[in-house]
Amino acid sequence: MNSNDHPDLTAFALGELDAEHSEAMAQWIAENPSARAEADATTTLGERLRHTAPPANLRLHPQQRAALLNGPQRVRQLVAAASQGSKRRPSTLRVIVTSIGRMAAAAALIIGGFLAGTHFANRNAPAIASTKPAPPEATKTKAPSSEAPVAPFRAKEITSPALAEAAPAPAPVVVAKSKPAPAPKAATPAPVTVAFAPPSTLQEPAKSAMPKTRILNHAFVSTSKATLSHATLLPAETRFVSPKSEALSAAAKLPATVKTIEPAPRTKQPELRIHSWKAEVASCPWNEAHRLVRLTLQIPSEQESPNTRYPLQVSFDPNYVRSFRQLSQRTIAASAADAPAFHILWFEFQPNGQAINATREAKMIGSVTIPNALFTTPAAGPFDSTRLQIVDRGTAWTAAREDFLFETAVAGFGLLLKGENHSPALNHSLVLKLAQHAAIDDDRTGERAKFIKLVEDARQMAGL
Amino acid sequence: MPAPSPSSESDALVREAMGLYESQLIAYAANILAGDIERARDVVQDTFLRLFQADPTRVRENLKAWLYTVCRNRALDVLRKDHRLDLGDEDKILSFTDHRPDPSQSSDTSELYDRAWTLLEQLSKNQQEVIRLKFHHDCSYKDIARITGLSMGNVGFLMHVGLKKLRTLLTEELSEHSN
Repeated sequence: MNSNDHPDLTAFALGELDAEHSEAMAQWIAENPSARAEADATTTLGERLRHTAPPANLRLHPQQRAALLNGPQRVRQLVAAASQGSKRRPSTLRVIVTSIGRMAAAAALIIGGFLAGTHFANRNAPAIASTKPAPPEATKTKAPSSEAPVAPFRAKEITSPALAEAAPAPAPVVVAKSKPAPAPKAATPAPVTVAFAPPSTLQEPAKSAMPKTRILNHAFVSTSKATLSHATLLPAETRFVSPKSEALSAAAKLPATVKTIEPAPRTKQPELRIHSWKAEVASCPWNEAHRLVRLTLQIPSEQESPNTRYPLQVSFDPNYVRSFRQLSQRTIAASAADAPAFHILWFEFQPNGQAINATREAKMIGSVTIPNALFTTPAAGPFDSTRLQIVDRGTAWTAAREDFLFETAVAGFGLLLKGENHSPALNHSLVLKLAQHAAIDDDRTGERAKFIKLVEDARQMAGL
Repeated sequence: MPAPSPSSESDALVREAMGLYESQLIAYAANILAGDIERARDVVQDTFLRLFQADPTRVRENLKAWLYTVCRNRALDVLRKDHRLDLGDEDKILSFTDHRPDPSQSSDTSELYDRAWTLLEQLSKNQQEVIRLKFHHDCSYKDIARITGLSMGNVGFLMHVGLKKLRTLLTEELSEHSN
């Protein structure tokens, strides 16, 4: 912030400084033409805002006015009666009926839970076998093959880096296993065995810990079946890494090993500090019937608890969204020690019914929730820092911001590389068109030009 | 001559407050409630009802700030009940350095300034609020601080950043207009 970019200069221009400060500021800007120009611009804008302020000519309804102006005594009586009424004790009959209802609901839940658990356990017997207790030593984490004949992942696959790298990875690798505690004496927390694999194989925490509605393989999920999409944010991935420390950490990389750690005592999860967050919605360039959502979180690179994985839940309103899928999720680490980092999620969704267009009223189509989020800057009033609404204003992709367009091109290229579940309209030409449209003005780092070259090369190599 | 009873004093104060601030408060509440005028009317009626119950001698001194504070809190209560409360803090993402000429330096911008209140919608909620209170409801920084519960420094900062961003948005409109 330079000297011309200071709240006091704005306060001076709006006549909000006290006499002493105002005099000092007047002397200073008399010697500083650029500051004077800044103050004049602010004053002009303020005057125009006052001049063009929308007229306030709405009144209360006649009956509302009459209630206030003609019947103040009656109003007081009503207010008093209302406050007394709210303190009235509920009737005995109501208490009994409510209690019976609660007991019935509890019984239904218990029976339903038991039946569902029995059914689920029978259907997934082989998978359960793979989670049988195993000794903490690395060489013993491999379950006997007779006990787990169809276990999807074997401990051996993640204890050897060579195997982990060479093996095809059609599905996420399970990197953590916890000892189940079927015996009653397991009330004492058992040690947790964690296998540390190279970063390329580390994808997610334990598979069993992930929500069932997690989106995989970019498939669309109907909101009649699931309205939530779950993601996580790990602040350690957003940290600025200087070239020197990066070299040191690369040299210190160790092959995958298995360690035994004691479970930490349960404590309250620390807060995730965020500078700001934003949700943008625009039409989908490769499918006219679909729309795209970009969620951007700007966070400080240094967090109180960098190794805590924070849940990030995206909920879609079935009234406006028929189905959705997560296209990508990425973290952009801070470019300097004091610079912010970004966490970005992309979704594609199919609107329920006719798509919202720009001439219609904006609609709230969903929300994003991070339970422990806290803004780094003070907010006005008791606004909720843990929940962000996703509002669709009917914006067309042609009217979207350039960075939105460019990232749309990147997300589209990602879909092309995966080669599945995308519209025929999505091709290299469309990706290039989007990227080139966005790269006209703002390509300070040259990244956009590199991406365009990459896509052109890919198209040429594919013979298209 | 007997001293005026508290109730007659309250009645007079409510009449005075309605005469001065009824429309302004409805506009203010409607902004918080995303343009829902009927709910805004209910909120303002409730605000005046609370004025009946308040101590006139204590309220009269800061009548305007008191009314706006109560009105704001009631409107936020309504939003909370509807689960519609959010903070779109987009400052950091949208902010960028702009070296194009300021719209105030252009002679062909009088029409453009009329768009300023529309462009205000693109600012964060808290910036919109302080700018509306300042230029639509003619509140001082001190009043705004009382109404919103912010410190004077925070009000000044939000006003500064909000007006700068508004100028940037106007500049963008101007460049599009000239193209």
